[in-house]
Amino acid sequence: MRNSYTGWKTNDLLSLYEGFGFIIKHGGSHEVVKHPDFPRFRETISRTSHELSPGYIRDAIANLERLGLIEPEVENDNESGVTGES
Amino acid sequence: MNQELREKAKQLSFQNYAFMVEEDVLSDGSPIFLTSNPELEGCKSQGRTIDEAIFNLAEARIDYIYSLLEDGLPVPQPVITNTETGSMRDAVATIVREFKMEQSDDFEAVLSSVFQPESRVPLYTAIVEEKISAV
Repeated sequence: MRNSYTGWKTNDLLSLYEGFGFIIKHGGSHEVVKHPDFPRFRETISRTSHELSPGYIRDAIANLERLGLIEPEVENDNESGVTGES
Repeated sequence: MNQELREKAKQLSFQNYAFMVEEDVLSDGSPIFLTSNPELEGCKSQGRTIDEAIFNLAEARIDYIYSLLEDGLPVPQPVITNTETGSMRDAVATIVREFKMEQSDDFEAVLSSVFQPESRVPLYTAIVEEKISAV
């Protein structure tokens, strides 16, 4: 996942989230991903047959790390979880 | 789907949320634009063009807010006050200029379908773009 951010389709990303216990809710035009253990977390994913923006995959990794569902990448130079440098 | 809740979500989605546009590249080398509302963490969409991405984000925002309402959670309000907003046209023009993109012919139509006529957007968007151009 961390090695390739491109070539992902909506169903690929949904499968990834589901594998980590997330719930998929079907919205009007987007899928909404939620997790029973993190009620305030949610993410909208474009329901498209085309390829997803790599940004979706980067954000998914960040989300899984932030929620403690995967280990932060070792060579990440202490960047994970840091927001707002103002 | 609860239509009453859906309509409420739609009305709330018209609020002046800041939005960001990021340019990315697909596996075939073509550009893709990822849009998000920073005040609604996790609310995002994408499009092949900037205007398509902004339009799709408006749709995503309704689904996002609907899910909050459905779960009985508070809907975050736009954090930037009206005194810190500028015209939609100026903010979008900044984005288009920074990305060296051309506006589509129906750009105004897209904007008017997504934002209410009197809508003013946070200058946050323009400020972000200025930071990018300064790098």
